[in-house]
Amino acid sequence: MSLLQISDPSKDNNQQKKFVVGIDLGTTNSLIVSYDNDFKIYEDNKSKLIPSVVSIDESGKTIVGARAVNYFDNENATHISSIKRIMGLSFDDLHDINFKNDLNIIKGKNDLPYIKTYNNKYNAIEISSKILSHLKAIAESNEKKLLDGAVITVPAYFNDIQRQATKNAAKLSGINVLRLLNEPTAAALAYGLESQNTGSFAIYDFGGGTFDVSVLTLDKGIFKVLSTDGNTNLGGDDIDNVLSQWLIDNYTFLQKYKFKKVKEIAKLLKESIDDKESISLNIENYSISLSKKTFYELIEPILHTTFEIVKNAIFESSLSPQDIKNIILVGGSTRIRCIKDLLIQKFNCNVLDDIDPDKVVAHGAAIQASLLSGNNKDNILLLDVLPLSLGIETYGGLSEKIITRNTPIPIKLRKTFTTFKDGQSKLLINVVQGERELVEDCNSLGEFILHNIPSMVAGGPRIDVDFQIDADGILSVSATETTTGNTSSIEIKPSHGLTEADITRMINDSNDSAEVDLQLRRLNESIVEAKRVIYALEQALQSDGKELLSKNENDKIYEKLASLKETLNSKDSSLIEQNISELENASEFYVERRMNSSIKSLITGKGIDDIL
Amino acid sequence: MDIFKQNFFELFDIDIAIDINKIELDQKVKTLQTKFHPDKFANGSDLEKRLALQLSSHVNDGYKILSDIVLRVEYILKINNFVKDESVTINDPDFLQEQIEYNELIESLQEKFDDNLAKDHLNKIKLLLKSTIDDIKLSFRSEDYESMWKNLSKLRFYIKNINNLIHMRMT
Repeated sequence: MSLLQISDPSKDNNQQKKFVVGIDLGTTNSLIVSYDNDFKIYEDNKSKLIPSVVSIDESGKTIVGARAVNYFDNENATHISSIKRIMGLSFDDLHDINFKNDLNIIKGKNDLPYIKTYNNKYNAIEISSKILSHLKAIAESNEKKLLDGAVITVPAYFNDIQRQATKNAAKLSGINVLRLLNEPTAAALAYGLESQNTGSFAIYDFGGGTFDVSVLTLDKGIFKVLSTDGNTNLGGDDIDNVLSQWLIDNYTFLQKYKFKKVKEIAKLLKESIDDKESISLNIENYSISLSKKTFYELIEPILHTTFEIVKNAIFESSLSPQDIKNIILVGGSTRIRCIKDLLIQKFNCNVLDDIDPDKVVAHGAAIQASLLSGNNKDNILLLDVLPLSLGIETYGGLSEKIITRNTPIPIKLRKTFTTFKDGQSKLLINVVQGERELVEDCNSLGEFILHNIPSMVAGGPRIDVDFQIDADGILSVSATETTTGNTSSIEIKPSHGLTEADITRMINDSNDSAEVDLQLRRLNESIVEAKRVIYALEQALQSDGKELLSKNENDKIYEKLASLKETLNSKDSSLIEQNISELENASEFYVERRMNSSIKSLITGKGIDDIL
Repeated sequence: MDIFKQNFFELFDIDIAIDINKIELDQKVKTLQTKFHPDKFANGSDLEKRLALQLSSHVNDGYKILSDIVLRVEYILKINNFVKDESVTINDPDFLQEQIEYNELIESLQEKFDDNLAKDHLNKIKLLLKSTIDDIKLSFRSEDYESMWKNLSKLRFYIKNINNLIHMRMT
């Protein structure tokens, strides 16, 4: 195969293996795993499943993970669990979800919910970042190395705000996010590699707080998601809540307990019932008993909801139910026995559960991290989709869908706007996510305000607005006024949550490292980027510079290449960055030319079978 | 980049036609994504990352349009410079009657679902869809874009109803 390489990490033989991990940031438990031919799960206090729990005491001391659970006895401390359920939600959104707890939650900046502790308050991003920092510290101290990057999993049905919140939490904890990966897709990757299965399958991912379904096909190492559906507020937590309520209603002595305590009893019952006809527990001289029949009756409405979502995902995939040969079980809640039986009965297919449902997502994330970092050179690719449609607000508060759900990502859509008043200099675009017709029933991702529109008569300016969804499923917006060619500046006002500036300030606040450290870091980053650019370009020039470039073009690139090399030892990050951008400007046409010629040879030059 | 100037049929090297070979399209998309998906440039320079994101998005956009019959027909009209105001209404009393009947049927099925009735109508609409597509093919062959365009609303309507009925039967 004589394809033109743009820059293939597998050829980079002087590259050392990077320390990268997969992180399953779960509602109840989290895992941090690396993969190098085999999985290595980093343990917290001898536990592979690390509780997603943060305890903050009256002095502000923070304990995370396994030790935080032991700390529950401290009555004065605030114990925060299931924080994932409120990631990316506004204070008002909390009314719509079943987030039962004993926490004191107040409305804070930008409409965000804040959890009140003895002498401070924290939002969900900060709490999640404490969990992530803890995970990072565990892995780093185990390997005695600094982490180069991580793939973090999110529920497939997470919207843009929830994804952004997760990424910000990682930023805040100093983790370089290689990719946000959808949990069911991660599970598929782990299963697909292990079983060498091909064909179509559905992932049933029922976790502590979220439920996801994805329908995928696997063919020659390419995992292609066809559709995804779910509910980001439906999980084992809800089963515990239903069971807790039943306990309180039927055993009145429990009313004097804190809800958290009743929930612990409910959890214990749920986990021990397995396939026994009934079980009982003794609490304070009272006997509590639960029969399997009652338990199934209590959870039936929740399970019914999940099965309806599976049907819908299959419908959206355009496959027929008979095409789905296997359903893969993921998430701790799939340990409830009847789920497997009911799935087999309803969908008439195999149910796979040989990989531990608590670990499979983290395994997949670890594999993806090893692929992205170049440590693992297997020819595997994940193609995912946008889980929820993206729309813009039009007259009458309606949402005009611009990118529909289940569209493969990355994807870009361009829309042209104009003004409706003479001399109008600003334009406001409200971007929403969701399937409903009315804007108020969708999630507003924020308002994008275009400034500096040239003064013209109404309808004169043509403003091209690009909505770009990246491979993480996150939106960015840019705009150009085409009659003048000016790039309009865009101000982004998130509907709730944090702005870029907020995050930067928080990072700086948490970073007690001196200015010198920051400068050093910037210098290192610029050198790494410079080396990347030089390496990629030299490889390219060697392979086809003569064919694709005239002597003159060739010389110009080499000239810029040489100047960049000279700056490498200058210890001046601005100078290096400037030279990188000059080299990139000088060589962009060449990289594009290579991509074009590569596409042509891929598509027309050969039969498809020769290439794959 | 050159490829952004090509139309999607040229990009995937597929003949411009109303019917396309989905398996072939699927394979071509996979071939390009295997090479240009942003995951393949996670270690690349910022320039490469940016170009890969653009290219991969473009390929997905092409896939989305070419794999959907309605979007494909609209696209064929567009590349033949046939653009018409969406709000122009077509006066077709027979089609209007059909629409009323099917809407009534869907309503009655929503009230009380009858799988045999749904199946019957599904088959009927599938036949109507097929004959509409045949009409569109004929018009395309004779470069009669006006009548292609006229059939688009029928095409949209039948596909929407087929999807509705399949969804109802499944859930």
